[in-house]
Amino acid sequence: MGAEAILVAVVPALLKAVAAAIDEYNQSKSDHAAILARMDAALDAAKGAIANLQSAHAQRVAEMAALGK
Amino acid sequence: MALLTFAGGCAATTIDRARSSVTISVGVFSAGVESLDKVDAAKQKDLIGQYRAGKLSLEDAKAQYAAFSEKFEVAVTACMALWDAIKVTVSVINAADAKLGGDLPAALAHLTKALAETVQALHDVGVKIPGVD
Repeated sequence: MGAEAILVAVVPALLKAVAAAIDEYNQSKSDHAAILARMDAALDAAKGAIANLQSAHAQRVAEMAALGK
Repeated sequence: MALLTFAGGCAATTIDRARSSVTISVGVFSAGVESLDKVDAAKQKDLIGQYRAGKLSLEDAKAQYAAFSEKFEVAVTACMALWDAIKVTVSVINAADAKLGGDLPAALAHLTKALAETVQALHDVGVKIPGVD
């Protein structure tokens, strides 16, 4: 699976997880630590998705540089 | 709601704003990262297509993509800064919840600034944010 496909497949799920955790956090009066831990994990994974975004862009930059050669 | 029970001397209005800003910021981050990849792919495809159709010189195609790439990098950096600000704000909210103090107004101001800069940077590469634009 290429970087673009990974990005498209993974990012929405990650951010849904973050949004769900925030919603749950806002509505819950207990076990905030566990919810925040899940939110942290989802946000960390989202940062990985940015790395994939940069990787896909670097590949396109290279393709443009090679254009016409 | 749980966030309204936060201690630490934070006014309810600030807590409400922090909660809303985190939610909005996550949405902008999500839409931004997704859209940036699509916009990047579309821009490259369009320029290559124009070059191959003889509508654009090789030099112009490369120059236009280089100009786009500069704005793209700014937008990616802005998204990363927004991600950092979200993390900090969530941590400060958590600290306030545990009565450990924390400067929620400062975190909120930082998040608001990062959000505004991200939206602007995304606009600059042609990304529109649902619910914002």
